[in-house]
Amino acid sequence: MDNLWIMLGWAGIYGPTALGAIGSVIGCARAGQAACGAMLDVDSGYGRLVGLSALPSSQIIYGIVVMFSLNREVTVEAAGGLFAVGILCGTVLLFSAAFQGLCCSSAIVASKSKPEIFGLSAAPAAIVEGFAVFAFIFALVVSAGIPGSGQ
Amino acid sequence: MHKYFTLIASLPNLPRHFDVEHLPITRQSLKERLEMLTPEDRALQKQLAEFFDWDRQPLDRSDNEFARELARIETIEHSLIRRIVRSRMEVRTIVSALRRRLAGGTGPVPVGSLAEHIARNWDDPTFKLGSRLPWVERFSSCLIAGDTMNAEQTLLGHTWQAWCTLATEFTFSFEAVILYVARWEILYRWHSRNVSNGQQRFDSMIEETLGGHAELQF
Repeated sequence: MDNLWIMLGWAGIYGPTALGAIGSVIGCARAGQAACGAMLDVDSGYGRLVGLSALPSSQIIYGIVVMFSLNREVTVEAAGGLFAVGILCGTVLLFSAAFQGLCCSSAIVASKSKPEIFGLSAAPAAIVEGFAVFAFIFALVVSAGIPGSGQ
Repeated sequence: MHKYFTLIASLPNLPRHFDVEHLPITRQSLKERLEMLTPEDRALQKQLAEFFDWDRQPLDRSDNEFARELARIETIEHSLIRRIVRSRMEVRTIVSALRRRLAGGTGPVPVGSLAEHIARNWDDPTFKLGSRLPWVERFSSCLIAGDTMNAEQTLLGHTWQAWCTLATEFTFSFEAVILYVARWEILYRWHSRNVSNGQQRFDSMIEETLGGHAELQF
């Protein structure tokens, strides 16, 4: 039984990175495909299309930071907290990156023929990013209360 | 379900209204972009394209042939395509019935889901469809007045609005592609009409300028 808890604890530590990476893969792939498609239709402004498509990559960075904040000796006492914080934070990062990819794709489609709305069209993606930041910050705050954080 | 981020993003935005001077994308370019569809979706899209071609069917096609064609198309296993086909069939049935009545015909073509309703309400100016389909009344009055240009515009405007409204429900899916192509077909039809108008005007100007010499063969 202890081994199961230890395993869950390690899953909690690595979870934010793994799930954040999956989300970033999905989000960047979606937005990247849209950027490639838009390049067929426009004659300039390729750089900002690619830049927008890279927005969902921030979730993997948050995941790595949370992983470092959770990284400690995995004990039975700490495992439950590590699992809960790590997996829940990772899940938020996954969904936020995946859906941010949709927002970025829509922004790319909307702004390709109306460059003047580029900033405004990216606002929904920024709002989605905001929710990921909330989950990230409070994961850091909560992780301080998990046993073993002082090591 | 497969998503088409690249394909949708590569298609130029469609105008708000269909009565534009220039097509946003040529038929050839659109065809090339549609190569990005998966083989299954491409086959479905081709079936829809055949429907649009069938919409401009030869005049010598009989009602039975027409009914067989409709039955074949209605076997397509895609809810949106069936919805588009049925909607277009409704429009075609009503237009056909209005034209037949104007020409002194006795009843509607017995094809499609509306035929029976129209037959029952043959003497009503809008076949009692005016409340559900407001365009019928306007189209009918344009047709009676011989204003075919406005009649066509009313018809295409109604279809354009219907597809635009439906398109807001889909973003990067196959349905979004279908609705794009459906709306592009409306643009193409209107644009083709303008081209033929231009051709006619050009011919009449040549006749006016050259008189009898315009008929000379070399």
